[in-house]
Amino acid sequence: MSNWVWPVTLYLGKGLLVTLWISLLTVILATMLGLLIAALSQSTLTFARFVGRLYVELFRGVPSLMILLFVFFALPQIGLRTGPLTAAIIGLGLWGGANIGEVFRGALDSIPHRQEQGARALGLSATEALVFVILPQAFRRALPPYVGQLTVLVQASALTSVVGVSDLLGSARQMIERLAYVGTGDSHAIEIYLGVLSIFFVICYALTGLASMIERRLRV
Amino acid sequence: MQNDLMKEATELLAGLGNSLLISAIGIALGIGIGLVLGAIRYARIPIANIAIVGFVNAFRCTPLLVQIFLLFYALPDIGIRLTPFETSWLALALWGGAYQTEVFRAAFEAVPKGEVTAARALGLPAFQTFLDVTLPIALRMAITGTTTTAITQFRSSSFMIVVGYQELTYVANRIVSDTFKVFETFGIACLMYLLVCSILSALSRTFERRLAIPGLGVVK
Repeated sequence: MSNWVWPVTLYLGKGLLVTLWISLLTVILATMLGLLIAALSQSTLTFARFVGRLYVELFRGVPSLMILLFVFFALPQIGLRTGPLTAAIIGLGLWGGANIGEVFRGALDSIPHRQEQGARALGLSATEALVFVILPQAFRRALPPYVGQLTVLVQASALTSVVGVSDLLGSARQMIERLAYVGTGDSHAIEIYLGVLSIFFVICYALTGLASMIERRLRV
Repeated sequence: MQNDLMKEATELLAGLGNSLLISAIGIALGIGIGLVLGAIRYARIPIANIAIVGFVNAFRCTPLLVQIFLLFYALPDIGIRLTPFETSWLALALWGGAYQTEVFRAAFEAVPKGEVTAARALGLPAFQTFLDVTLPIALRMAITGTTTTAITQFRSSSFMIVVGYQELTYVANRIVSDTFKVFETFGIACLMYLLVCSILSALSRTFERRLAIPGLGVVK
């Protein structure tokens, strides 16, 4: 094995940790936002439903990278000095929130109305009907597409390298640049990028498998 | 001041034009790839099937951004040099093709088996059954999925900022770096993306309604 492999692997390992960290924080932020949006969509207030709808339409009609860059440049302008990492996580979280919100809303809307009516007729209060009848069913429906959205967010984490975060892709680029200037001047770009692709593939393929497994298990 | 904004809006429009150009090529090629590969998957041709599943998974389970880096920065090492323009439409076409393959495979398999059996019973050869019965029904069923992928391809054209292709996000990013007018510039760019996405999804709904066969499929 050539002597460049080991240091590069170590460096990419650090990048992978950053990628996983970004993905985790984005998922948490996006899930909280998604829950809020789904709650808005079920509101009896027309205005609240409108706000939820508007958020989803706006954030799903614009490229994720555009939102990320917008947040990255806009935060300092409104006086918030954060690093690229924080800006990237906020940007991706805002974008992911719209997608995950749609997943949750779709699941809630897919529960037939008569389920709620039946529960109410049996004497459950509105809250009890929601907690014991609607949410357990909606949860089963939402879980597979939710895990699907996780793969989307993991893949989107690669965008953070555009604003200079040393995630997996970012550290791969730095390594390739450095290798191009030392020793034989061979950047090994193909091997390194294929390596990055394989790492993403393993993570996302596993998550996809998990989604279909959950789908089979939870089938009513 | 007013003139500046006009000048920037014109530059953004030119960027939008470039985004639309690469997206149009990428979407058209993606649909072509998806249709052919989806049909082969539907026909269950043994070895080709495995190869196509590999292609689809490879492109769907890895970030488009890393694929772009591989195409643009790594392929020159094995003597394949692509211009930013070629990289842009090729990356969109391959990535979209993988998604469209799944869309068309699902559409072909959703065609009611009775239709195919009836056509075969009437004496139509297998291939003609596919052309005259399966294809016309499947194409209608594929409209929603195809447009969703196409819209995502258009939004993902913003990733081409990393190869330096002068699309909308690239132009917006350059203007912001020069003038620091974050909100105006990104605001206009976002509106442009939103507008194109809304037009595409409205077109999709119109097509679906116009082409619907009474009694077949769900019409909204």
